[in-house]
Order: sequence, then C-alpha cells, then structure tokens
Amino acid sequence: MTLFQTLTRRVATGKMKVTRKLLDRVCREGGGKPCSKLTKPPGRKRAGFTRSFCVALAAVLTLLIWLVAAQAAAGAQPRGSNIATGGYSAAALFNRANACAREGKAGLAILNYERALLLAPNDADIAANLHFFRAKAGLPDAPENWFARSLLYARPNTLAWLGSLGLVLAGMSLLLVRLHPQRRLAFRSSTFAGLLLVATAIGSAITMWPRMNEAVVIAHDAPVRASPVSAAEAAFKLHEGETVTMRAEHQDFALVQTSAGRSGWVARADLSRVVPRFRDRS
Amino acid sequence: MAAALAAVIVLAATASAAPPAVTVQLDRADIALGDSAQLTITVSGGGDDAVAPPAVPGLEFMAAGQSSQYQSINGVATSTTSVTYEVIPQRAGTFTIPALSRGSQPVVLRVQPGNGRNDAAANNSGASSLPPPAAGGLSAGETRLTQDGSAFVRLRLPKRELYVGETVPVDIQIGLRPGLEASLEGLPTLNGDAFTLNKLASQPEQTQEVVAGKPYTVLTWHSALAAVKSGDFSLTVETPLTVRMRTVPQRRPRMPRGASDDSLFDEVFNDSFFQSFFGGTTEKQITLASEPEGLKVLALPAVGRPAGFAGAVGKFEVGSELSTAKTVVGDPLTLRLKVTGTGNFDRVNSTMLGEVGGWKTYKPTAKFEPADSAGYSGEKHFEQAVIPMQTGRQIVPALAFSFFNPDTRQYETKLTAPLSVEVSTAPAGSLATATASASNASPIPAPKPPRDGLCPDHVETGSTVATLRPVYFQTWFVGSQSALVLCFAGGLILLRRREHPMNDADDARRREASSAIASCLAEMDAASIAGDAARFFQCARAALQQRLAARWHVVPASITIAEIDARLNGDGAEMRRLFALADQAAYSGQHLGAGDFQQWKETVRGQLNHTEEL
Repeated sequence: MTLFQTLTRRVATGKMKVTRKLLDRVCREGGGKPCSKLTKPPGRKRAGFTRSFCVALAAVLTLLIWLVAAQAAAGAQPRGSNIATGGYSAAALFNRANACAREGKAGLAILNYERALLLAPNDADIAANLHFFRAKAGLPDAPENWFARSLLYARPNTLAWLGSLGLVLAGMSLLLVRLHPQRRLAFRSSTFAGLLLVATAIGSAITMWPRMNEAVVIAHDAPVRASPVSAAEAAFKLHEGETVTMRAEHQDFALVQTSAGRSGWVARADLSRVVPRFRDRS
Repeated sequence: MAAALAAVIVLAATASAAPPAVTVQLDRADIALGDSAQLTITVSGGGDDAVAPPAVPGLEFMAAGQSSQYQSINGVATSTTSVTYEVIPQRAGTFTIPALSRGSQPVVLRVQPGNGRNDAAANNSGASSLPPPAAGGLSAGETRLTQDGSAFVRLRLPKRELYVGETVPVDIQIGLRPGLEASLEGLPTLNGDAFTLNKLASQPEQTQEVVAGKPYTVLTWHSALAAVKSGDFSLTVETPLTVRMRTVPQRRPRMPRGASDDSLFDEVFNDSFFQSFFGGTTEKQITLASEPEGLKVLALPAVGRPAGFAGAVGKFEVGSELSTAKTVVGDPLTLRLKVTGTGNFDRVNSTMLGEVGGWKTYKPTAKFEPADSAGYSGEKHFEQAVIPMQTGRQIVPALAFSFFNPDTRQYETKLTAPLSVEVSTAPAGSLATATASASNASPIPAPKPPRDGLCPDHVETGSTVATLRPVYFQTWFVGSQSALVLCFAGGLILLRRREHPMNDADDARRREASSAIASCLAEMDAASIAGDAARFFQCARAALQQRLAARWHVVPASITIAEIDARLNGDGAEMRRLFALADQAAYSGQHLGAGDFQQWKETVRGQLNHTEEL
C-alpha cells in the first residue's frame, strides 16, 4: 500500500485530519511540489458568527448582567437603614445582643449574636460574647468542621461576589482561549482561578444552607409537643437560647430538631429564625 | 439689738460698783526662743484697765483673741473678760510679767536659747534672708517681706540650671506673722511663661518658722516645676492676699468719776466689749511676690539621642515581669514594666513589646503612682496583654527605656532582663484551645478579655444590609449568575461549532447517508416480500453505495466495483458480489426464494456494519 493510499484511508476513516503539512508530504511523496496555496477543505458555509463576535457578545452580555445584578444589590441595601427600618448591621446587632444580655434575655441575646456573626463571621468580639453567653447559659457551642471554619475568612456576601467574579473570569478565559490560542497557558490559569473562586462560593453556600433553617428559642422553657396542637402533651422542653433546626411549619407551630436529634413541634412564637424571612422579619 | 444693748448697759452699770479682780495666766513658763507662749488676762467684776498688756522689754505681745461673759445671780450681775495674747520673746532670758492690778501675781517666763534653726534665725535677726539650705535640699533666695514685715512669699528651688523638659521639685512658701488674720485670694502663681507648675494642693502644709527674728506661720506648697523652653529666665511667685490687722484702739484716758455728766456713758462705751464690737481690725488687699529667681534652661543635646527617646528627663530604673512563668498556648499573659525614679513622669512612655514572632500583643496601658504630692518621684507601671502562639520555652525580649539624665548630662538607656515562660499545649476543649485554634486556623484575632463578662459595644455601626440571607440565596443573584453561565455556554458552543465546520459536514453527510440506507433497507424488505430480486439487489447496492460514499466523501454513483477494488484493495469480495448480482438481476431477471432473500438481507446488513467499521 502506498503512502497516498494509507493516508487517504486514514483521512477517510476520520483518524487523521487534512492539514497543510500532510498535503505537502503527500505531494513530495508523489514527486510534486509542496502545496503552497492550499485552502481549507470546503465545509458547510455558516452565516453570521465569528469567534471575535462570540467573545464580544459574551462580554457585553456579562457586563449587562453585572449591571443588573449591581442594581438589584443596591436596591436590596437601603441607605442609612437600621434594624427598625429593615436594615441590619453587625455592630447594631452586636450592641442589641449586649443590651439583651445585660437584661438577662438569653434567647434574644444569642439570637442577635448569631445574626451579627452571619454578617461579620471574623469579628472576635461577637464570637467571644457568644461563646461566653452560651457557656453562661449552659449551652454548648455549635460544632464546626475545618471547612466551615476556613470559610470564615470572608463574609458570605463577599464570597458570593467573588464567586460571581470568578465565574466571569472563567467564562471569559474559556472564550478568549479560542480567540488567542497562543496564550493558552495564561487563559487556562485564569480559568482555574475563576473556577476556584466559584467553588469557594459554592462551598460557602453549601455550608451556609443549613443555617437558613436555624432558629433560636427565645422563650423560657419552650414545650416541644408531639403534634402541632396546643392540647398535645409536651414531650420535652427547649431551653432559652438553644439553637434548633426548623424542618416544617404548620399554622402556629414549627417542627424542629435539636442538635441531639430530638424532634417535635414548638410554637412559632417561642422561636425566632436566625435568618428571618422577608415576611416575618423581626 | 436694742434690747441686748440695754441689757448690756444695765449689767455694766451694776458691775461697775464691784472691785475688779484681774488674773494673769501663762500657758507655760518655759519656752524656746522662736516659740511663743499664750498669756491670758482675765478681768472679773468690772473695770478693764488692766486688760491692756504690760510693756516688758524683750517680749512682744500680739492680741490673739478676746471673750466676755456676763452672769446674773439673784440680781447680782458679774462680768468676766478674758483677753489672750501671744507672747513672743525677742531674746533668750527670764522675763517677768508684772502684776496688772492689786491682788494679781506677776508671772515669770523663761526663754531658752532654743534649737539651731531658731538660733540661726535669731542670729540672723535684722536680716531679711532665710537660711539657704532646708529640708529636701531646696534652697531659697532672698525673702522679701512686706513693708510692715507681716508676710512674705518665697520660692525654693534645688538648682538654677535646668534642661528643657526637666522637672524639679519646688516649694512655694507664704509666711504670715501670728495674729495676722489673712486669707488667700488664690493659689500662688508663677510669673514666667517658660515654666509650668504642677497643680497645687488646696491645703498647704503649715509650719512655724522664725524669719528675721520673728516667728511666722509658713504655708508651704510642694510642687514640681518643669521647664518648657530653653534660655535665661527670671521666675517669681505671686500670691494675692487679704490681710486683716487687729488694732488696739486708742482709748481716752479715764476721767475721774463724777468729772463728767456722761460718766455712765463712758463706763459703758469704754468697755472692751464695745470697743471690739465696733471695730478694732483693718482689712487690706496685697499681692505678695517673691524675689526673682534667675534660671537657666538648656536644650537637650541632639548628639547621642536614642531612637526610643520620648522626652523623659530624670533618673529612672526599669524592671519587668510576667504574670506567670507557665501557661498554655492562647492564654493571655500580662507583661509588666515598672519605671521608678524621679523626673517628668508625664513624658515617661513605652511601647512595650512590639511585633514579635510567636507572640500576639496588644496595646499597653500605663498607670502612675506618685510617691510625693508633686508627682516628681514615683513609679509608672505599664501593662500589656500578650498571648503566646507557640509551645515550648518562649522568651520575651528585653524592654528598653531611654531617658536623659541631667546629672550626667547624657542620654541613658535601661534594659530589662529577658523573661522566659514555659508554654504548653492547651487541654482540649478549654477556652485557651479555642482561642489558639481560632487564632491559628482563622483570621479571627484572639478574643479580647471580656469585661464584666461581655465585650463592650461597638461604636461604629458599619454598613447595613436589607436582609441577613446571603446573596447567593437570593433570587436576583441566582438569576444573574445563571444568565452568566448561559451566556458563556452559548458563546462556547458557537465557537466550537465555528471551529469545526468539517466535522459538521461529515456529520451531515453521515446523517443523509443513514437516512438513505434506512429507506433502502425498507425497500429491500418490500422487494423481498414481493419476490422482486432485481429491485432487492438494486436497493442493496444503493445502500452500500450510500455508506461507502459517506465514508469516502464521494458521490454514491461513483461507487463501482472498480472503485471498491481500488479503495479496499481486494478486501470487499462480498460487496463486489452484491454489486455483480445487482447488475445480473437487473438484466437477467434472477428469481430468489424467501430463504435466499433473508440470507442476502443479512449479508447486506453485515456489509453495512463492516463498512461502518472501516
């Protein structure tokens, strides 16, 4: 079998692509001159998009999406707002928690410390006071693994925006590497960095997700019932300041699970979500 | 008032009939020169001629007070008047105070030469200067007395040459003659802008002192003077004073009884009670000023000034200690630095332990404990919370303190001894463990030691958010990020499709071929049912042509037996046979049985699969 036949067969079977180098080799094998003006194999004509156009379109869309997101974020943060008007700040929550602590309101104090810690997870004062007040109330600290602790390097919102930035970085790098393949290494590095940011944000979200359903007992010895009716007998009681996980809600009762794994229905008035919903913000 | 006056008149009138009894009493018979004794003259039963003190050479009598008592028993009224004098000896010796009236006894006062201080004062009688050295090493300049010699103010300084920033102890003294009623209208003040004076106590120290042979009650304020700028200056102290001098009124000579018609009036109003009631003191406001003191203030030398010099001038010693010698990782310790000595403690400062590896440090606090009322000497304590972050024997480096010694006229730097502490691993579950682990594994700094159990409120409110729910759980954020993902995914797909047009053409060609092959196979099935061999083989050939044409990128009609031989190099015997049978059936009308159709269909399918694998 000649070289031409072999190459033809490999090309025909899709095992080799027709390249300028290959054609030059074939021509030399046949005693001819190298193909100097070889054009691309004719393919199906595709109207419209070029590579630059695709990248530019993606960039414009990204910018638009970021602008929309920024406007949404700005709308979600009322300027000069405080707790009374619907805004939260870590310092205000911390001061409010201190006030409750001094008044002996353990539940409200721990609730506000927990909320302050959500906004400022790396604040030593909040952590110290929460630890101190939990110990004073005889409540154990919430267990944290190394991953959750490592995510305390930044606030959740900061991580979220970093993740968004990483998404843009990775996406644009993936597009640009097609446009400039000679800078493949740089673009792949930035893609990796962007994906790392995205992964960090996703990890933070996964860690934070259980906390969205956490609630603090704000009543003194809240009874836990087997069914969501007031007439039901109390199976056990929750101590003020204890943190539980809300599993379901039914009318004025919430199905909760303690850190020890015990479940039951508690009056919603005896609980307060660490992350309040929009409709029951307190 | 009128009733009281009438009563006094009546009582005086009745008392005038009784002979007066005068007693003279000294509180002590022996005194030292410079001291004073108290002489009390009591007149009972009327007349008061003897109330005036006698004239005794070498003794000076200063009125100190007077009291009167009137008593009526069964209509008989008696009056008693006591006048107290301060007896001040002018020299040593034995003095006899003569009897003041009939029946009274003279009293004797012996004046001893006294102690050295008073001797010196006595020997210095007539001069207006004080003995220079005094307690505390302070020296005084000239003592400027008032014109009548009733008061003075002076400034006592340890030296006349100071450095900028240097603090020296000073005594400000105000001397008042006994019996002089005076009130300060304010604390003494410095008259000079190159010096500052520590706050003076509201209650000065009170002593007795002889100046120019006369005793004075001396009020002394101990304070500290600091020089604030260099140069030659004159320093004085001024004190506003209000003086009330008790004066003995000039009496008219008593007239013989009956020589005047208004004898009763004289009897009453010549009484000492009325004389003291209607006056007897004069009030005068004066400003006492000390003699100007010449002081020279030198600038601190720039040569040899240590880097850590903060302006301390004086003589100091330093020492340091740790609150404990054994601790665990993350447990806060207290590092103490003690600076003792004399000087300007307000400029004594230390940054304590700075950034040192293996230690977490906090801002130090300082507390000054003066040893004197002027704040010139004492101890300044610095405390700093430090947290060991590593186990093992840890060394706290030596702490340095620099100051300027005005005695040696040089800068000095004192170093404390390095301190060691044994740091062990904290037991699991302890607060120290939590602190250390938090400090090591996260950016959370070590919790500050809570005061009263709780860390204090935050002053800065910081930024606010509308909701506690993190943004990655909010709809608008998830939507925007999803749109981003779709945007990039769409861009990537478009680019990939753009970059591989050949692959797309092949795919289309294969799809068209597969569709044609499927229709050919269906037609073969129909032909086999109809028993049409020619149509069956034509469809079989067409199916193979479609497959091979798609693989070889040629038109199906160009696939012939010769082409197959050329391309497959003799491998396609079954294909050649099928192509031949197709030609033969088309022209000869070959008939096949049902079993033959089935066999050929399997052959065709096998060849199609075979060409797919080529």
